[in-house]
Amino acid sequence: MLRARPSARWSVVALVLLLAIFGVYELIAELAEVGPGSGADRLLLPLLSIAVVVMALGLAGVLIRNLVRLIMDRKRGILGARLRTKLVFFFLALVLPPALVLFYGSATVIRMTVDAMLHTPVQGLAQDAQDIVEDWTDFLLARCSRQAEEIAGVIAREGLLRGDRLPDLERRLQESKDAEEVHLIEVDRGGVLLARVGKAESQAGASSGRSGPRKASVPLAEAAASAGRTIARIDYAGDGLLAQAAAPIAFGAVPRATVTVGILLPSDLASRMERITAVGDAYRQVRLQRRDLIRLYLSLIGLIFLVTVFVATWMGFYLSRSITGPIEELARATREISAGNLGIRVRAEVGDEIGRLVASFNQMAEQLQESREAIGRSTAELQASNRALDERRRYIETLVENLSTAVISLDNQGRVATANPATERILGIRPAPGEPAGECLDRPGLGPLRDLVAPAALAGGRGIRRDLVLTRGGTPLSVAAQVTPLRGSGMERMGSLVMVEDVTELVRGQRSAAWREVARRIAHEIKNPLTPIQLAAQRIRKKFQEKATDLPEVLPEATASIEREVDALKRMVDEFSRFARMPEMAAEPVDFGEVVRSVLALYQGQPGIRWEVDAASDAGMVSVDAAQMRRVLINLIDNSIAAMNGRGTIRISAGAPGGPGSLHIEVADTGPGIPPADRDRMFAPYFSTKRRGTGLGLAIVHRVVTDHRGTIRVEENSPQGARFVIDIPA
Amino acid sequence: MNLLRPCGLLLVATLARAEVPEPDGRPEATIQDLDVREGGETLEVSFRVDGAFGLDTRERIQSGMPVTFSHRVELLARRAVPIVPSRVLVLAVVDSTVRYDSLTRQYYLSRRIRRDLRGEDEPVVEETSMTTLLSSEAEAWLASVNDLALPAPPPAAREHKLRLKVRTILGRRYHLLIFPATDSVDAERVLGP
Repeated sequence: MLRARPSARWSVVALVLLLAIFGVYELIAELAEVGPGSGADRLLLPLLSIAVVVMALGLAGVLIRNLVRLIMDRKRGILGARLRTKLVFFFLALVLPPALVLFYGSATVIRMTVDAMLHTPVQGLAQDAQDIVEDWTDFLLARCSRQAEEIAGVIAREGLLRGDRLPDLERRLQESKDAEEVHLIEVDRGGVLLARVGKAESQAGASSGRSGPRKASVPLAEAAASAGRTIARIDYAGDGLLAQAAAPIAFGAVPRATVTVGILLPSDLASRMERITAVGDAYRQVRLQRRDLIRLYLSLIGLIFLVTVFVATWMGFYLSRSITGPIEELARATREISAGNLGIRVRAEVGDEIGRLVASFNQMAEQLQESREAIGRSTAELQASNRALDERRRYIETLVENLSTAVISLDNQGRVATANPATERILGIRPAPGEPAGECLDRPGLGPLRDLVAPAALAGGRGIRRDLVLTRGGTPLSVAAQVTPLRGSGMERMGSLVMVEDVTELVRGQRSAAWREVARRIAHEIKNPLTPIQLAAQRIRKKFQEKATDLPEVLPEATASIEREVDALKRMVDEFSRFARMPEMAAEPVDFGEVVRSVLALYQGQPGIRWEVDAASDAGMVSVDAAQMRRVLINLIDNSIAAMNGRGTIRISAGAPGGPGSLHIEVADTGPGIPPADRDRMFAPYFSTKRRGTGLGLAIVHRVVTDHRGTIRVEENSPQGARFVIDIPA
Repeated sequence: MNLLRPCGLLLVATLARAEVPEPDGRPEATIQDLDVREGGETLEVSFRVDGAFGLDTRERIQSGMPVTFSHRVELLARRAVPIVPSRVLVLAVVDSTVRYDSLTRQYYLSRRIRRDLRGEDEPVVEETSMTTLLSSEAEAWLASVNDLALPAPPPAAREHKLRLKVRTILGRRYHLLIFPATDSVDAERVLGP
């Protein structure tokens, strides 16, 4: 069983790929809210980029590999490669232009969107707000710097750093704080705090909850002292902001002192400034990430483009494979079938036309297999039948070869087809196949048989049976010849079969038996009158010796009896003489109807007999011995009258059903009929069922019919009686 | 058809080895003044990365995005068989980060040092942080490593040829828009005579 391969594996791969892309996209979208510099930015984006590149390379590799393989398959002429190529490139042509347009359009839209996102009026407002914050910060820092420098100048001019003036310093700082509306003023020298006015929580970093470094690289006062100039900065202080500036005090020797002035911004203001700054930072960060965003989106679109092309190619492959796969399997199965493997089948996993084609192919293969098995069985049966026929033919040939009867088969043209060895043994000839039967039988002494198989004789539809007397080497040869038409299964004529049986010995035996019967009958017939003659002679002698008085009466009576018996003997001898002296047949054309009418005229006035002559009887002119045929009819009619004891119906018909010149005669009576056991002996001389019959009448009839090359048979008449049937050929 | 797979691998290898252009038009970064001083049980390593800052990096800093340079310092012992990779004796990774606060106009500087003496102790992690108002100080914080103390290699290791390998990862870049690559610079110095 061949099988077309499904591509479920590729379906699963494609599905997993799409789900992975969707999942990563969703994850990025979720983590993108965390913001720049987050884990999503530092880890997921590179991972996504790498994943996109890997997938893109993999897809491109698979795509190129499949296309190259497809082209190579097409060049190598692999079955189905052309259709596969067409379908794949069809799908590519279908998908590629819109995909390219979509890719280009999406890239343009993304660029425009990102640019538009970075240049919105809101972003301008945010930038302006940040600029205000920066200006405000600068203003505060400048103010702190200016006031710090002013206070530093006052301290220096009034010498407030001297040890005895320190109480004045603190008072002066308080006056400045109140006058300048600052929140903190400190005087520091060499890292030692000399005086402070203002709240301690206003110091930078105090209770700040914000993230970031907890210490500056250098303290502000120290930095200003070392730099010898005013330094200002802003720091977180609690929930607010502290803008402060430190200015060096030009007083005395090193270490120099500094005055720091701080202005505390309330928490609500600080929060607003912080939010504004954060928005500005975010804007700059987004602007910096513009290329990364575009890159990411283009990568995703490129990946989608590749996936689309890959899916299109894969669909082309899949569809073409779903078509060409079964076709390849069909082609392979066809080669298997042509090689003789009829058990091959193709598994159809689709229900479309291809599936139906496969089903039809499988059905065809199954029918072929069944046909071959049937042919095999038929062949075996035919071979067995041929063997049986051959054996039977040989058996029949053996039978025919060993038959004592000569068997000659003739074709429709009267040519010899076969002849068995008995033909040469009986007839002294060896007919060659194809030799006309008339020629091979044209030998001295075989004339009657030659006439029997003449074409005219063979033309008859019915068989012919004749008792013929042939001559072989000057010796008479009694044969029973029968010509039977050979017919095929459609009753068409295929030729004739000539069978010649040598019945010489049989005839001789029958003749010997007949003569014995004749001798017995003659003895019996002679003996019967002799007894009354002997008794009459003995009576006369007795009366004469006794000198009986009634001798005169007895003598005439006895002599009359002797004369009567002698007359009977004489009559019987005359009958024998007539049978022995039957003349030779002298055939001449006669009107057989006239013969029948002349015979019936003899029986006119016969009481008790009803005559039925077939009105359709018209044998026409036939070549027969009219006198002998008249005798045949008279004997048959006498025989019928005697059988019916003089009362009954006799039906006579004559015709020529075998053609002009032939003669068919039927004489039927309504007597008791003839027992089947006696029918074969009916025509033997001296066979009679009558007490006073000579037994020669039917023997004479048979003799005359045989002399006319005809046949006679006795049948049972319907509804009763016997019917004698005579057939004489033309 | 069997040539397809090797060709594909060759293509991937070629892409992987393709030279990545310098981002943002900055000059090529180099490691300068790689100096190793042996002080008893420690090695003190100092170096500086020049050309590490372009417009893009500075904009990133000014936008408030944290920018990190990762310096990987390895002390390697060359093996007897040339093709076998060298053995790492000491590994230290210095992650220097700068984050600018545009509200206070200060640079928050942080550094995380992880020292790993292979095969012996657990890694030692050290973290420091500070602020500055100066961008130059922030850039120096990122691009310079001064007197990084490493455990001196054991005496047995000194029988092999030692070398110090420094690799600084400046960030990432993309080749042909989509191919990610690490933006890094390397330097190496052979120790001993």
